Amino acid sequence: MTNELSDRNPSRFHVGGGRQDRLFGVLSHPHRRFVLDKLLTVEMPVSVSELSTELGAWEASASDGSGDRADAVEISLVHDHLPKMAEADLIRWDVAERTVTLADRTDEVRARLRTTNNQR
Amino acid sequence: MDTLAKWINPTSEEKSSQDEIFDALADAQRRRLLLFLLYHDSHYVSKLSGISLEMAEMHRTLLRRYLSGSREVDEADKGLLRTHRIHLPKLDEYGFIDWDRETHIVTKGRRFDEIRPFLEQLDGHQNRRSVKRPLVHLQE
Repeated sequence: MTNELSDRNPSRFHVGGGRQDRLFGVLSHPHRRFVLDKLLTVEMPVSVSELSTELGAWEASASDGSGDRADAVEISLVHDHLPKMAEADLIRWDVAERTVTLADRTDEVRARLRTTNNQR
Repeated sequence: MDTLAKWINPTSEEKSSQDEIFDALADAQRRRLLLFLLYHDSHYVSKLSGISLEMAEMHRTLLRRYLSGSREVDEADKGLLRTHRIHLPKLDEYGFIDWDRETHIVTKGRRFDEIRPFLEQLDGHQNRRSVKRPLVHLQE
């Protein structure tokens, strides 16, 4: 360890760009982590309504019972969380079929979530 | 069955602690600062001066709009303004850093150890192809 008091900038670290920003941004909400975990487990398309139901039940059991109801959960999934996750290339969202599937960044997501897990 | 299963029922406290870890990491400038602190005890953050200092004092809504937009202002150091007005307050509030506003020195915060495994993982991923360790490249 050195004592770094100079005016140097840590700008030469390779920390990734917008792609990493979006991955971490997606992981910063528990509902989005829940969806990713579910998709990692089943490895096949899951309907948005099934996700909403499970998420609503999870909220109700994990919190003090004041969790969001499934329809409220579904609204925020459809209008907020799923678009963010699709934009980050983490899921493929079939709007017509109303299903979502894990996209191509599986290993990265798994690694990040596992770090969260090991930490506890 | 994946070991991820046990992650799925965190308490609400653990949930928000995870939210803050990932939110802290969701910006390249914040990742750089945190990674720097992984290898160093402290970092001196340049003071705002001139136009940047004047802009730092402007109306909060205007400042936020400027900092989140793509418009540039001559002679203003937008990166440094973002550091002072967004990144440092956020990381300090979460407890990942201690930011001494008088001396302009940033050190590891009380919750730094919570974010450490993520930084080590990030460092391994991003800097694996670096020529040699230590993986700290400082710009003069």
